[in-house]
Order: sequence, then C-alpha cells, then structure tokens
Amino acid sequence: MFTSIFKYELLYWLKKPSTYFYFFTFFSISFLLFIGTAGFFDGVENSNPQNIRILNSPFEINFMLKFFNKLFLFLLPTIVGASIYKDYKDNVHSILYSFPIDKKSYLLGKFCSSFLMVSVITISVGIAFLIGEHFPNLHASKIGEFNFLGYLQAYFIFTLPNMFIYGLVIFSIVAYFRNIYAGFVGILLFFFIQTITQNIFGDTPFLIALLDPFAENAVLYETQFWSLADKNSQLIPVFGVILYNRIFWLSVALIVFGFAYKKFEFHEHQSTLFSTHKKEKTVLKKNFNNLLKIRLPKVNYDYSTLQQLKNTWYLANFQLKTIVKSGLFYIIAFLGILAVFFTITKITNDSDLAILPSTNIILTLPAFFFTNIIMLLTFIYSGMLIHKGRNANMNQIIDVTATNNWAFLASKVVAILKMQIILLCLLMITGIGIQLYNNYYNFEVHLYLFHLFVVQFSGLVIWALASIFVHNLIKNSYLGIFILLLIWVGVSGIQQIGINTKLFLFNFEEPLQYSDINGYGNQLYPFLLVKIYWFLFSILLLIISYLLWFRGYYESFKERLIVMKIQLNKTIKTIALLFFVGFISFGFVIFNGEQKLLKNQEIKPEIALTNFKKEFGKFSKITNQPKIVDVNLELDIYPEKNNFNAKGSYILVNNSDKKIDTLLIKIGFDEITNYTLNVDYKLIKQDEYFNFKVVKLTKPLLPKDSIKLNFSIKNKKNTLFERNSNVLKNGTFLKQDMLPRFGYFLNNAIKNPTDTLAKKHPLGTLDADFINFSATLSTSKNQIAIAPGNLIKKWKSTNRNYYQYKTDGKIKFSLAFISGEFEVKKENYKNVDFEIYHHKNHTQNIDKMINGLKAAFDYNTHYFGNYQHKSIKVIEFPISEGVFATIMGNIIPTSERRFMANPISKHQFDTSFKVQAHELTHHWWGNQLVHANALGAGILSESITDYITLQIFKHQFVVDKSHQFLKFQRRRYIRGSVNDSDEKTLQFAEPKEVYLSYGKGSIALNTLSNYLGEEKLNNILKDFFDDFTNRQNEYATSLDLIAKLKQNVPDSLQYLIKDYFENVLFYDTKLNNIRVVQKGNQFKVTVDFEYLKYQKNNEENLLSLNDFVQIGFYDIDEKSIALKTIKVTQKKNTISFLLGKKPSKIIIDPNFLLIEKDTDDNVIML
Amino acid sequence: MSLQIKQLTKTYANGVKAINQLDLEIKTGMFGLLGPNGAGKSSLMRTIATLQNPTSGNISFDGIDVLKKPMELRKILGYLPQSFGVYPKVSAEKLLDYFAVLKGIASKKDRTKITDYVLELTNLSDVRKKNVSGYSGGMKQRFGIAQLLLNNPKLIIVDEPTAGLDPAERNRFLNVLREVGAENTVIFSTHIVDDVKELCTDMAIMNGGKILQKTRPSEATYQIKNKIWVANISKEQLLEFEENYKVLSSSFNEDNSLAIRVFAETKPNEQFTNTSSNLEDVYFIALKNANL
Repeated sequence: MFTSIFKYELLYWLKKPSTYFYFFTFFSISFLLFIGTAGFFDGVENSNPQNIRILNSPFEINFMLKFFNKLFLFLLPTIVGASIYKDYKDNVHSILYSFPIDKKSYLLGKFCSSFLMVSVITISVGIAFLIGEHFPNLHASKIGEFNFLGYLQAYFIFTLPNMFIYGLVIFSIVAYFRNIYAGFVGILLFFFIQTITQNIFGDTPFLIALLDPFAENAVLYETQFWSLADKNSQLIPVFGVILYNRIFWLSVALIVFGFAYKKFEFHEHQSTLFSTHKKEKTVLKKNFNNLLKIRLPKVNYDYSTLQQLKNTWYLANFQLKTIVKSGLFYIIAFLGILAVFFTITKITNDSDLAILPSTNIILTLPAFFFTNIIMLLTFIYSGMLIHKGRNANMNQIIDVTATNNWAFLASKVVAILKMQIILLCLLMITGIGIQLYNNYYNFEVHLYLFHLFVVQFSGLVIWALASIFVHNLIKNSYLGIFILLLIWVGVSGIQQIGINTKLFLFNFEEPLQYSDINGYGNQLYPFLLVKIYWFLFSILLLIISYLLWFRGYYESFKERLIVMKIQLNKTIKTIALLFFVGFISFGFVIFNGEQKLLKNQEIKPEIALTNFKKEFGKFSKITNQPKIVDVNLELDIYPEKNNFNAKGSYILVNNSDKKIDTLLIKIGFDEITNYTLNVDYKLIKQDEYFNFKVVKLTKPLLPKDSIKLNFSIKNKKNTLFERNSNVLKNGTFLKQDMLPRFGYFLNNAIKNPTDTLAKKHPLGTLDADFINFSATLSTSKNQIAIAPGNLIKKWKSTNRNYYQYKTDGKIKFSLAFISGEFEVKKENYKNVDFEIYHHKNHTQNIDKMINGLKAAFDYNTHYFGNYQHKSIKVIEFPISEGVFATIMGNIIPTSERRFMANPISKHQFDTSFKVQAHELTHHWWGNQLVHANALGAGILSESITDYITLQIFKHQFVVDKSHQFLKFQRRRYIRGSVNDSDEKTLQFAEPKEVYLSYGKGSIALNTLSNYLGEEKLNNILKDFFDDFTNRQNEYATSLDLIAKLKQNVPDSLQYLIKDYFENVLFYDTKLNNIRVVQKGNQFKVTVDFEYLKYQKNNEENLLSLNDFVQIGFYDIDEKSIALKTIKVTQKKNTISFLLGKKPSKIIIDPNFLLIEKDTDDNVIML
Repeated sequence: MSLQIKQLTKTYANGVKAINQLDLEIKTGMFGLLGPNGAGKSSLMRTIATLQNPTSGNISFDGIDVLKKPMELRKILGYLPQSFGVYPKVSAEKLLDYFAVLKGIASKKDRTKITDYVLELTNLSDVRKKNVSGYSGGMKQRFGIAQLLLNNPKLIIVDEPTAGLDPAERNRFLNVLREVGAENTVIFSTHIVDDVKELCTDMAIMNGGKILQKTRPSEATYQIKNKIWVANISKEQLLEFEENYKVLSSSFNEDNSLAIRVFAETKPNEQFTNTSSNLEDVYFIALKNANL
C-alpha cells in the first residue's frame, strides 16, 4: 500500500510542470548569485585582493545556502502540504477515505514522496554552485580548492534536515487544518521563533544556537572565533551544538507530527483541536415546509454603482473575517508582538550601546521586520482570497450574482489592505506599550502614523495590488506565492547582475533613516516619488486584474484575453491611459534624476585616479608648500533651501628655508569655489575631476614670506537622488573638507613611522600645522550657528542670526560649522563654560555627558596641563551624518544616537559619560599632542585616550563599570582579530583598524598601568606629551611612544611592551583545580592552573614565559579576599596561598589584563 | 417572457462540440431538459447562466441579450449548479446574508426579512446558525434553493438537483420547484425521466449537443400511445430482437428472463403484448432515433 501511494504521488509531481519550474528557477537564481558574487559580471578583479572570502569553502557554501534554506521553506506547503491538501481541494477525500487505505501508508506515502520531491528541488542550488565554481572568468582569488565534503555537509546537516523537520511540521499543519494557507502561514512561525530566541537569550548564545529553527546561530556559535583563514578552508564542526540543535528540532517536529497523526482520521470533516462534544440531538427529518404558495417578501434590489461600492465594503469585511478569524492569525499576531518586544528589549539593553526605546528606534528595525512579515502574509492571504470561491466550489453561485467584477476585485483588495492596517495598528500599539513599559513617555504618535501608514503602508499597498494581480492571473496559488517571492527576492538579484535603475527595481527602496533632528531629510521626497511611480504601475496591474477577472469558466488564457478585449471599454481605456501617462511621467522624472546621478558617476573614481596619477604624478615631488596659518571665514547657511555661501581668506606662510614657486591647489568636491591670490600667478595645468590646479607664482614665495588667498564657495545643488549639499533643514554639520587645500593630495597617504616624511605632517594634513581661526556665521532666525572658538559677538539682521567666533590660541585644522534649532544646557565649571546643544527631547543623557566632561577635564588638567579654551560645546548632529562623536577645537559634535543612549540600562557601561570623557581627552591627546601621518598613529590618540577614559572610570565608578569597559574592548578586539587574516601589530595599526587602536591599545596600556602603577605610567606619558608638543615640524609616532615606554619600564615588564605592541599573540589561562585546607584561623588554598601564550595562527608553538598573572579570591558575597600577583614560567603551575578567609570563588586574571579568547575556564566556584 | 437560444455552439479546445448549433425557445413554466450524461446539458446551462462563453450563437431572455449584457440577466437569474460547495465555517444565516448582498439587497432589514423567509421555506430555520459546510446532502441542496430565491429570479436554472436526494426529500424539492415555476421560467436538467414527468409542462431531449425532441410530456406520451409493446425473452435472444425491433429498454425479471419494451406502430409479433406508453419510452425513442 505504501509503495503504491508513494509511486502514485511521485508520478503526480513529476508530471506537474511547476515542479520543473521550481527546480530551474532555483538553479538559475543560485547560479547567477554564485558567479555574480564570484565577480563574473564585474570584469577584471582588483589586483591586490585582501581579506577575501572564498566562495566555495564549506563555510561560505553553507552561508550562501542559508538564504536559500529560507526560500526552500516555501516549497514545503507548495509540495509537502499540497500532497495532502489536494485530496481535500478536489474533494477526492470523501471518496478516497472510504477506501480501505490504512492511515500509516496514506500519510507516510504522501509525506515521503513529497519530501523526496522537495529534496530534489533543493539540490538544484547545490548543483548550481558546483557548476558555478568551475565556471570560467571568475575572480581567481574568490575560488579555492574544490571540496565536495562542504556540499555534503551543507545538505546533510542543514538543508535536508531542515526540509525534513519543517516538512513534517507543515505537513502536520496542513493535514490538521485541511488548509494549505495555514501551511504557508506556519512558515512564518519559524521566522518568529528565530527572531524571538535571538533577542530573548542575548546573554546565553548557547541557547540561541540550540533553539534556532534553522541552525544558523548554531553555526555562528561554533565558528564565532574563526579567523578568515578558517572560514576559507575548514569544515563546520558538526558534533556540538549543531547536532543538539538538529536533534532538538527533530524531536519537536516528531511530536507535532505524532499529534497530527493521532488526530488524523479518514473523515470528511476536520477533526477539532478540542473535541467539543455537544449534546447530540436527534433531528426529525423534515424537509421543506408545506408552504404551497411562495410569496417572497417584498424587498428592494439596488444594482447602482453606489450600492455596489457599499457592497464592496461589506464583502471586504466578510473576506477579512476569513483571514482574521483563525487561530493561526492570532498566533502570528501574538508572535509578531513578542518578536518586536524582544527585539526592542535587546536594543534597549544591548551591552555595547543600549538605546532608549524612542519612536524612531521602534520604527527602524522592528517595523522593518514586521512589515516584511505583513508583506509575506499579503502574498499568502491574497492568494487565499482570490481562490477562495473556487477552492470552496462556491464560485458558480457567486459568479451568477449581479455583482460587478470590480466590486469583487475591490473587496479583496480592501480586505487585504485592512489586514495590513490591522497589523500595522497592532505594531503601533505594541510600540507604545513597549515605551510605556520602559517608562518612556515621548510617544510621537504623529511619527508612528506617518511612518507606518505612509512610509511602510505605501509599499504594502503596492504589494497587495501586485499579489492580487499575480494570483488572479495564475490559477495555482502556490505558484503565485512562489512567483511573488521571486519578484521580491529577484529585485536584489537583478541588482547583483548590474541593473540598478529604480525604474526596474519593483517596489524597492532602501529603508528610510529618520532623525529626530532632521526628520527624513532629503530622502523622503525621492522615496515617495518612487513609491508613487510603482503605485501607478500597480494601479495598471489592478486594471488588468479587473479586465482579466476570473469569472465562470475559461478554457484557456486566450479566452480570457478575448474576454478582456470585450471588457476594455472606453471608460476603462481612458482611466488606464490616465494612469499610464502618470506612470510614464513619474518614470521620466526618476529617469532624469538617475541620469544626473549617472552623469556624475560617468567617470569611475579608479579610472580618474589612474589618469590623474599619470598626468599629475610628476607634481608629487613638490612637497614644499606654504602652510595655512590664518583662516578667516564668512559663512551664510540657508537651512530651508539646503544652501550655503562662504567667503574667506587664508594667510599662507613659507615655513621652509627654500623658496616656493609652484602651488598645488585642490578645492572641494561638492562645491563651486572661486579663489584669487594677492600675488601674480599663472595656471599651468588642471584636472576637472579632482578640482586640482597647478599654478606658478610669477614671483617665488621666499622663506618666512606670506601670501593671502581669497576665496568664495557655494554648494552644488541637490539633485533628486543625490545630496551635494550638506546643509540640512535642521542640524547642518559642515566640515573643513569644503575649503581649498594645498599640496599633492596623494602624498597624504599614510606612511611607515620610520619614514622621514611621515613625521613632517600631522595625520591627513599636508598644508597646516596649527591655525588661528575666526569666522562669522549666519543662519535662519530660529537656528543657532556654531564654529570653533569663543563667541565674540552675536546679532540679528534681516531676519537672520549672526555669530562671530574667534579662537584664543591656535588649533588644528579640523573645523566644524553647525547650524540647528537647539536647546542649550550651560554650566560654568572651573572658569570654563560647559555647554550642551541638544534636541529638545534628548535630555536623558545630558547630566552624564557633563559629568564625563568634568571628570576628563579634571583628570587631564591634573596630569597633562591646561585646557586651552574658554568653553566646551557638545553639539548634537543628526544620525544621517553619522553615529560618531569627535572634537574640533572646543566643540564636540556628537551624533544624536549618542544622545539616545539608554541611561538606565544595567548591561552597558556608561556610554554617555564615556564618549564625552573620551572626546575631551582628545583635546590633549590628538589636538595638542598631534600624531604624525604614520601607521600606528591610533596608539597616540585612541589607545591613550581610551586608556585615560578607563582610568577615569576607575575613579568615578565601582569596579564593575571598568570591567564592563574592558570586556567591551576585549570583545571588540577579538571580533576584529578573527576577521582580519593579516593582522598587524599594534605599533603599525592602520587608522581604520579601530579594533586595534581602541580595543587592543587600551587593554595594553591598562595592563601596563596595572603593574607599573597609574601615577608612574601617566608621568611617562606626560613626559612624552611635553617632548612633542614643544617641537616644531616633528610629529610623534607610535615608535616614539614605545621607545619612551621601554626607557622607563623596569626589565621585568619589558615583555609586556613586546607582547602587546610589537606582536600579535594570545594568552590562555585555565583554572584546573582548587584545594582548600583549613589551618587554624587560616586557609591554605592550592591552585592548579595553566598559563600559556602563542602567536596568532600558531597555537601549537607555545612561547616561553616569564610573565605576571593575577589570581583573585572572593568570598560568598563576591567581595575580594585577596588579589595575588605571581610570576609564571611554565604552562602548568601549582601554587599555594594562605588566606584569612575561606574563598568561595577563584578567578584567574580577574581584572581582564590578558588578551584571551576563551575565559569560561577562568573561574572556579567552590 | 421567454428564453430564446439561436444557433448556439460551444466547441471545446479538444474539438468536442458540447453544444452544436442549438435552437431552443423556452416559455414560462417548468422546462425539463432530459439527456444522458455528457449530452451537453451542463454546458448549455452554464452558458445560459453566463458562466461560459459560447463559440457562436445568441441567447436572449425577456428582451435581454444575455451574451452582451450578462449583468442584466444575472439580476433575474437563479442558478443551482450540479454540485457546489460553500465557504467553510460560515453559518447558513451569514452565508445567505452574504448572497443577499451579492444579489443587490441593500438594506440590512430587507436582507433579514428575505433570508428568514427562505430559511423557513426550505425548513432550515432550526439549523440557521450551523455551518453550511457541515450540512447533509439534502440540507445543502435546500440551501442551494434558498440562495437561489433571494433575488426573486425570473429565470431559474437547476442542474441535476435531485441526484443523491432521498425520495421524500426529492418530492419536497420538486414541489418547491413547481411552485417557483408557476410564474417564472425554470430550466431543469436531469437524466431522471420521472423528474420531468412529475414536474414539467415542457421538455426537450438533448444529446450530442443537440435538441433531439422538444415536446410536452403528456403530448409525447399520447403520441406513442398503443405503440409500446412488451415481451419476455431469454437473455440470449436479446441481440436478435435488437436487430429486428426498436428495443427501448430491457430489464430482468425475477426468473432471470428479460422483459423488453419495443416501439412499433403495430404489434411486432405474437410474443408481444401492448402496454401503456410512458415518458421514458419517449426519451429512449428520441435517443434511438438520433443514433439511426
């Protein structure tokens, strides 16, 4: 019996064209994806590829399959679910179930055959990758050695078990509910479970790994410390949490299946979940009443358009009920709420940067996720509604009623839209609920409404219309759902093969970023424009849906087309034409916008650079340029129009002992700049792309002589899709990059610290050391404009605000010009004004910021000298400009994200305090001690600054906070380290390698300070500081600092400098065993532990030891009993201590001094 | 108020002519459409019911060009297909209300009034809150009649409605149809001759997409009065008799002999005795004639 059912079913699927369609679609997509990623469409590959992930490595094959594994899920209802559903649908079950078929053969036969079918289809992707990796013209660096085991692993550990596990579940759901759409909706449950577990078990990654339905997090867990080299070669370790995960989910699936199996009966009607035995009643058979005359009551019939319109509403509600009145919908809604709740909870408690649950935050990530779920539900439910009549075999009675096609069509559209709206409302209520729960009371209902019901809903409406169109066109609703998924996924696919025009990317827009300060900024207008374009398109689809409305019987698609032609009357033609013209017009506007964008991108930057080097390379030898010593600026900012106008002048001095006759001038990229010199000169050569000019002075500039450059600058106008002007409606943040600069800018490239040229210039600047700066800024009447320096004067004129600034002393050529509507918090502390310019709602972190500033002010003035300005201004800027904070003169521009930190989160160290303490410390380390243009510069700025910030933490807070700080830095370093196959030593770290300069650097200095003493290390640093702040034309490098440290550090600690600054190595400690013996009043504690260190990627070769390590002893209340520092010279150690109290917890390296990946074995509880 | 069908042809893509140049006029009253399975009855009914487009031809009812203005016909059309299902988990009451909306009854009060009436009429009042999908075959068929009446139809098409009903249920069902048919045009397709006999004033016999005979049941039986003969023969003789006579039907007797009915103007031979003609004879004669 089993074999005959199995064979019959298999044949059924093999005869269906859609089976082949699925196979070849998956094959094509995955094939294109593979060769696309491998650079097939990109042409010649970069000559010096670095940190490249090899595509055919087991890790990467599995990584790419991850995406397909999710798509495959939709095959489960389509094939596995349908294998049982088709019997209900075609009403075969009522006959079939009377046959002597046994339940076991029936269910297993159906499941096994359809599972086999699905498995075969999934293998299409593997075959595509397999062919892909042997395809010609791929970038050689991306393809490694062929490893068939990788494929086997990906399929037999992940894809096929997934299909089996979730196939069982979906099969059970469909068999139980006798509803195929329940199967589709069931898939979404798994997505929810994944999101929820990810967010709920943030602190226990093992549980996330175990409970992930797709085992993705299990892979992440097992490979979290994998280096790039590992990822490029290793097989994924299966025996561990991955295996447990598979077993766990298999058990869940078997339980679900067992339940459904038990409940399954060969009955015509569905069995019920909770068998409600209603009182049975014998109904006496009476048929028609013996009314002999039929006198239908008189009622009014109304077939008017208006009434049909009203009917649409009624019908929509009727349809909606069939969606909403189902347990599954409630489950989805409930899990949706949970998913949002836990996502937000994670964000508000994240250990790295916990953020307040502001409306903006709730609307960013969670709403995006939720909207995608609504979109998937739209695909599914619109299929259900369109095919509802036919599926119930009620279509004939419905189709003969005098209701217009458009009323039917509109009712289904409206029902879907209502479903979407219900869920969006639910999201909004959930969001507000979460805010209430977090005691956050700034609800911003208008923002919820706008974002959900304009920004998100606009896309959903388009999907609703498209879904209705597809499902009305295609009779097979599974195929319809699949095609809709393809359209959704395909949009990213066609970007992959180089089609980027918004004219073709159906209903696709990058998610909008919202700033409390500047709203959606300039993104909103183009966003809505593109949405309207696709909306008009989908209205055309709707009109076609109307014309092709499936009513009655059609023999062929041709017949539907004939009917369509008949239906196409003048009115419809006119309406369609109107929308078509609208669609084309919007398309034209988008096309124009993109043309402007393309025009600016016509010349590829790499090619322009190559050409430039060829043409202008000879000027790279001209390194002697005058230095800017004096900057004067008049800057008018027009926020409403996104424009600015600037006039200004430089005084340039020849600081060298040679005369200068050639000037190399480069002006801003996005600006229109005019300039004149106050001496005669002539143009020799210019480059349009880089705005670079070479001019010859008629009379050379002699040493110590100066010239003056006058300039005027205005921004280029914004185009539809391109932001040329950095002036915002609110929160403008302009930088010095708009100003003219001197020198062959490519000489700016970072150099080795041993390079003699490196020490001549500060990082990133060829033409200035320190400058005098003065400026007059003007802005609109409701905004404040700020530049570095002291405010000299402010006034109002012609409805604008004017501010004049001037610096006391000299500052680095690092300038910010800010304009916005701010509230200001001011405090005078030790004769310096501490000012916070902030958005009116962002007040939660201001006190912490001021405390951070004060603490850094005190600490740094104590150790490193005076603060040079009369004020410190922290100024908030919109998130669209970045999430960072920085210091420019006496102003600290700080991203609004930093203002939105959650001040009460327990999990994080105090970010608001930390950021401001860090930035102000840069006033000494970065702005006074300026590092040279050399590798390792980050040590002098970021490492020292973060180290000082950590010391400030130690003084200000309980030890927990500084430990959190160190844990954060260690995590940051190790995460960066595993992803960098060519990790540099700290002394040669590139500026962009922040995991080294911040992460490793601060740990290094902290460890040194721990053994050397804070005071002693700070004095060495102060010495170093004084040395270099007094020198002219000689900037400090990392090697200078290391030399200084080596001079002043005792021999026993020299190894630390080598280990941390000059090597890439890891430590590993482990507590093996603890014995405690009481001796009178004292306790003899014997500790067995291991200590080792090794070079990165060379774990076998242990390095010789003469190191210090600390062991901490704690009592039952976690209070420290003793902290012992011991010297180790070998791997295995046993050492005894006499303690006055019995310890209950022992930790090796309790203060996070070592760089260690696995610290789980560093603790023993007694 | 008559339904006129002219030169109606429906050719399916596989070449089958389900309706073949069919001409038919149907007047007020019950009209029975008799024919074997596959005769094209359902195709014809679906075409009249605006569910399917013919390949060529015309249909008009009461001045409405059905093919050009299907919506006009739908306003006064009641249709009960051969088999139908309903949305799962919706009660009779709610489903009827839904149909009442589809059929143009705007006011909620009116809808309640009329659904109450048709529920009463079809004796479904007791189970009005029960899901129709859980109804028995007879109840569902009654529900079909209930929904059909909602728009007070002038043209009613019922496609093989009595199949699967028990005798009592069938009788009642036919009574209601008769009642409805008194003032309206009811087309009633069946392959059960008795249905037509009991019910119809007019009838047509259809096969192969064509009308073989259009007549009145009483008239048709009268026309073959005294021309029907019966004889008892052995099984083996059947072939011989079929060759020589127009054998209309045969049925086994208890002694395993065959009773055959033959159509002939005069007594064929001594074996035969005359018997009263019935509608079934008319039906078989028409089918036989068509085959010749």
